[in-house]
Amino acid sequence: MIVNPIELQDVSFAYNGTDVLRRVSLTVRPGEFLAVIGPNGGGKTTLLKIILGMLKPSEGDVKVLGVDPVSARPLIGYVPQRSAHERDFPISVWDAVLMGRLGRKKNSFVQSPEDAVASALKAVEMLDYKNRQIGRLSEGQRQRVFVARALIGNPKLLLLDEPTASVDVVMQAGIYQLLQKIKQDLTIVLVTHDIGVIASYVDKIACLGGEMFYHDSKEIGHKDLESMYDCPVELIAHGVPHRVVREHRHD
Amino acid sequence: MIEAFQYEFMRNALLAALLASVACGVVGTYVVVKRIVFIAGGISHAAFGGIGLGYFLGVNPLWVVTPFSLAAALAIGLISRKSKTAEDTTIGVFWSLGMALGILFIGLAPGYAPDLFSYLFGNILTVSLSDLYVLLVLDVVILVTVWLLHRQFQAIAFDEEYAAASGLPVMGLNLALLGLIALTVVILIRIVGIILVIALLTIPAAVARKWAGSLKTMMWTAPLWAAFFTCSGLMVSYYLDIPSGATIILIAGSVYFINLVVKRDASA
Repeated sequence: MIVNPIELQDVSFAYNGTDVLRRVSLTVRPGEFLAVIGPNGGGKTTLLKIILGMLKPSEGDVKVLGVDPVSARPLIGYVPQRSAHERDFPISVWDAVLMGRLGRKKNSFVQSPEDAVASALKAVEMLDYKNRQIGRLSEGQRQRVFVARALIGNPKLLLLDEPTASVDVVMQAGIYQLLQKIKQDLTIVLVTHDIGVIASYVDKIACLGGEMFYHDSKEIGHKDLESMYDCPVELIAHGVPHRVVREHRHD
Repeated sequence: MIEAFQYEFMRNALLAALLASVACGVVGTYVVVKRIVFIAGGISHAAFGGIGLGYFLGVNPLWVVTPFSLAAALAIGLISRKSKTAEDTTIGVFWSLGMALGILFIGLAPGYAPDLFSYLFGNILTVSLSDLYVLLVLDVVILVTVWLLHRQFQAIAFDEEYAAASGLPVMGLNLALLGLIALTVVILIRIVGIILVIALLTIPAAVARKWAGSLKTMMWTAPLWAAFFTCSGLMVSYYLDIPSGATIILIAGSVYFINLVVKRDASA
């Protein structure tokens, strides 16, 4: 029987009495690359934290890799939204990547720590920087290191929270291409507020604005976006085509 | 200089300085990178309650202050994380509560407390052989714990949210780290006293940080800086006949400011 990596059924979550997610249902199939887009405060990060088992939904059912989220953690790779570390934290790229093996079952490792770090860094094309202090990398390079950290535990499911938030458009494309390259039989869920560049790299897009506007294709219609953002949205093209939210007023 | 070490109290002082340097360098590294200096200050001042209790019970305060500081560290850690109170508020309460308890116990204790000043401001010259054994045991406990849990401590210091997402017991690790800080505070009380503990927990690690590319390097070099501060402070205070704790801190503080203005090679 094929187990879907993510099965969410009518999941709701409230924080301090405010609804963040309302009856969200989502199915992600094995090997899919899904982007979850939506406005700030739309519940994207909350959704990822529920999938990771860091938050418990107030209602609904969550199954990750066929089990409850906490049990599934050793098989999930996670790239958090802007890592909370200080830029000058004294840690090398090598040690930062090795951190990804913590919390995993030791008998699940097929490689030595050295080999595992080397192959994870090679996969993200950062092996040459292995001894560099992490604060001396560019934002895009640092994100690649955090992808390597997520990959080192041989995850079945990779979750990324705004991995391109502070990266320029060229670097963004580089990170998305990297994810396409490492995908193989990995299921990837990526959260972003970028509603343009991502479309050409993923299999499917889900729009989250408290409720889920789920698309079983890569196409996002203008009406869907306007309904989610609750404002007019238009497509512009200068360099990379992307959709923007025009200056507007909520009446 | 050799002449000074003809005396047993000077030999004890030197050994105490070296034992304290190991603890404050290693644990101070976590304190500095995890930015929990204020928590360390709270624990050290709360420890004064243990000193007072020791006087009240008529036993060596160093024996009582160890469990007392550990209890204070766990309480600060649990309350600041489990309750909705701001962390600095909890620390402030324990900071003053510990001092108040200490004063109360000493007031209730029969007789005069002759060593009180040395516990508040430190007097490395009064370290006894039994004190040295206590310091040695505490050092061993700290080093073994760090050897076993360094990668986990590094993970919670670097990015606590990621550590939690990886399934690490973040709360337990934080409490263990606070426990190590409490043990280090106990060691440092004999060297520089409760009031000045925070300086030795932070300055050696802060100086080492500027030159270290990794936490491990920082942990090797911070104890060396600490040893330099404590040993040179000891010698200067001996020859000038001035208080040792204050001398150690003044030397450490001076080096800290010099280190601030020295530029690190960008290519390093």
